[in-house]
Order: sequence, then structure tokens, then C-alpha cells
Amino acid sequence: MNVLLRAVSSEMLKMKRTLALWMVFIAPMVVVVLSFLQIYMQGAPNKPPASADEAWLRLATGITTLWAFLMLPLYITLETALLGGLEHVEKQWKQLFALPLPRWTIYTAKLLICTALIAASTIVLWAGTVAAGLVLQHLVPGWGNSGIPPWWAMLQMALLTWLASWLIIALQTWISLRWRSFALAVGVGMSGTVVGFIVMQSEQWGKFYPWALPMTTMAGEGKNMSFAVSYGIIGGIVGIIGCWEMTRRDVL
Amino acid sequence: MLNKVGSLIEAPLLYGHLTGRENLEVTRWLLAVGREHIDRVLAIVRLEKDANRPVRGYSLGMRQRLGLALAMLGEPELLILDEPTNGLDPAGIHEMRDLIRRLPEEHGATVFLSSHLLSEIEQIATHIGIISGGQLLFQGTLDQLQAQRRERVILKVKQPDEALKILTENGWRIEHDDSRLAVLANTPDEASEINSSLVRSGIDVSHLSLERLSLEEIFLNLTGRTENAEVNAK
Repeated sequence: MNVLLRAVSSEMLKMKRTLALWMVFIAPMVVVVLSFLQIYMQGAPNKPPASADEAWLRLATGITTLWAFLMLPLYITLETALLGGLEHVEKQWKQLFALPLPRWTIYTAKLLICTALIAASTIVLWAGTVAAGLVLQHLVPGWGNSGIPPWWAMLQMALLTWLASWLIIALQTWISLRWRSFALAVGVGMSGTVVGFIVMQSEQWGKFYPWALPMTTMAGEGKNMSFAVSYGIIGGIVGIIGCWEMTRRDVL
Repeated sequence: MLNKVGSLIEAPLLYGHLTGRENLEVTRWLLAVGREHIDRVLAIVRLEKDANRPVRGYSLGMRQRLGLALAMLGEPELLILDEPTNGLDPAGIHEMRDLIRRLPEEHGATVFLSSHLLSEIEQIATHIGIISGGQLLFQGTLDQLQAQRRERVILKVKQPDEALKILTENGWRIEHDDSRLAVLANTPDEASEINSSLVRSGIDVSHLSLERLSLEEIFLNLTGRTENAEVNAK
């Protein structure tokens, strides 16, 4: 465990001054700002919400939906490709695997860092949503989200998409670490996301397609929590398989 | 095992967006060694001044030295260096060579160095192994290696044809061109023996010197790359 913590610390250090680190703020804020602008331009809705909480949740749902179906899978793609790229520029794997610590710690540390970065972005998304809502109260009073936001319900919504994205994180991390090509990792992630637009509309397949899972979870009202958790578990398993596959190879 | 070994394989693997110190810090976390070791290795490779600049602005020599610092971070007992002077300018090569030579004495590390630059090896190494086609052809000290190979006695004489005849009759192996004779011989004793036998036969010897084979020539001989030349000489 101690070894893993050391590997994680080392990973965090490596991210200093990288685009990957900035993306943690940029990606969710782009979604928040876009959604905010859209509402601001359109003005108050024709049918006012039943309650302030409902107005808050309507805002959160709008932002989280845009996040879950478009930005999140693309952002995970870019983030994992950037983090993987750090080690591919000069074939750092050779050096990392020559160090006196188990190989799995290095892979696992990467995976944990990716997952943590996405979690951080999820928090940024949530905080950004609250901030956008508070500004809306003044600029578009007709939106109806007066008073204190329903923190927990909003955070829960954001965290669900995070849990449901573990499978994408596990897959994209493996691809970006396993192969040197930045283009391959980004290509797979982008295609996965685009194909997801179509697949997520299918009752039958949307539940099984990794890149559509955050969106499917958002849509499946009521039963989302158990959905998201099981996707998280599957993501964890895929992560372990990826780690095993990556570290058993001799020639890198 | 691995924590007693430090390595620098060809070019060091560095993160360009991090400073020299941060690069060391990344590896320090993985090795679980104390913070003070960073200053120690920076001092060894004399990079203290540039430690806080991003590595992407480093010269090749500085990168190479930082690589050496990285390899030294865990206080290894064995240091494996593969072509450490590759691509360096003369000043960089000199500095690197100097550094590597000091490591065993000052820091107690055994250095295992592989290189194609044989003159480099000659100046740095105490023990040498020669590998060709996966076969270890020689292992031992530089002196042992040189003793294994015959030295050459270079002669200049007024009557080369006669001298050649006399020496061949006495059983010496000779390489010759128009102006000089090179006799394969081993010791100064043999050199004087050659000289006196020539003088006794009335040959005028104007020049005699012993030529030590360079490591490069020994290597080429051992690995058989000059087989043709040898055949010609016979």
C-alpha cells in the first residue's frame, strides 16, 4: 500500500504544469458556461417550474446531460491520452519498469490518478452548476431557482455520471498506456463517443456500451444508483485486467 | 536486486515539462529515498545551478548528467551505463568521462559501461569485456588484453628486402609496406633480439620502435573484422 501511495505521489508530481491538470477545470467549466449562456439568451421558460428545487434540478440536469453524453467521454479520452503520452514521449516505461517497485503499482497509480482527476472535474461541474444557478437568480429571475440549492441531489447526479464512467476510464487508460500512439487513443475515444450517440438511444444496447454508460445512467430514472455502482464495479474489474495485461509483457 | 542497481540506458528518460529537481523528485518518490539525496546527486553531476529550470531547455550534456544523477539517486552498488557519451560534444564527453571515473572512488559504485567508443572505454575502464555476435570473446584487465595481443616492432632499414628475408627465416611474422617493416613481437627483449640479428647480418637499422595496439585494433582483430587484412599480411 505504501508503495502505491508513493507511486501516486510521483504521478501527481508529474502533472505539474501540464494541460492534463488544467483540463480538470476547463472541461467542466466549458459545459457550465455554455449551458449558462444558453439559458441566459433564451430567458425564462414559458412554463415556470413547480418549485425552486425543481428549477435547480432542471438546471443541473441540463448541465449534467451535456456533460455526460458529450464532454465526459471526450474529456476522459483526452485526459488519459495526455497522461499516457507523458510516458511515451521518451519511452519512459523502460525506466519506470526498471525501478525497484512492482510494475502493477505504476499502472494502478495512473489509473487511480485518472479516476481522481475525473472525480475532481465532477466536483468542479457541481460547484460550477451551483455558481451558475446563483448568478441566474439575479439575471433571469423567471428561471425560478430561488433560495438555497438542493446540494445533495445535485451532487448525487454528478457523482452518478462519475461512477458510470469508470468503465470508460479503465478502457481508455489501458489503450493510452498500452500503445504509444496518441492518435489511436484519441481515435478510439472519439469514435466510441460518436457511436455512443446512436447506441444510447437503444433500450437494449445502451446499457452495455461503455461510452454511453454515463448518459444511460442519467436517463434510467429511479434505478440509476444501482446501475452506476455496477458499472463502477465492472470498470474496476476491467482496470485490473488492463493492469495485468500491461505488466505481464516483457518487451515494451 | 533492482534497488542496488542504477541505470542510464542511452538517452535518459526525462519529463521535459518538469525541472531537473522535479524529475529527480518523481523518481525519489518511487525509490522511497530521503530528500537530501537530491542535493547529493545534483552535486555529483554539478547541476545545482540549473536544477530549477525545465528540462526541455537543457543541453544534451546536461540531460545526460541529469540521467546519471537519476541513476545515482538510490545509492546503487552497481551502475549500468549504456553509451553514456552518445551524441555529446567534446566538452560534454570530457565531463561525462570525468564524472564516471570519479564514481567508483568517491561513491563506491561499480560502474558497468557498454559503448562502441573504444577509445572512451580505454580511458575509463579497469576491466574490459569484448562481445561480438553474442559471444564473450575476452574478459579481463586492459593490460591482460594487451598482453594477449602481440605488439609490433616498427623498423626502418636501408635494405628492406634482405631484412625481410632474414626475419622471415628466423620465424617472425611480418607486415610490410614500401617504407617500413612491422614485426609482430611481444616484449622489449624480443625487439632487441630482432635488432641485433639484423645488425649482425649487416643491415642498417635507422629506426626501431615498439607500437602498442590500441583497443580498437585489438577489438577489430578479436572480432575478426580485419581478417582480410591479416590474410594479406601473410
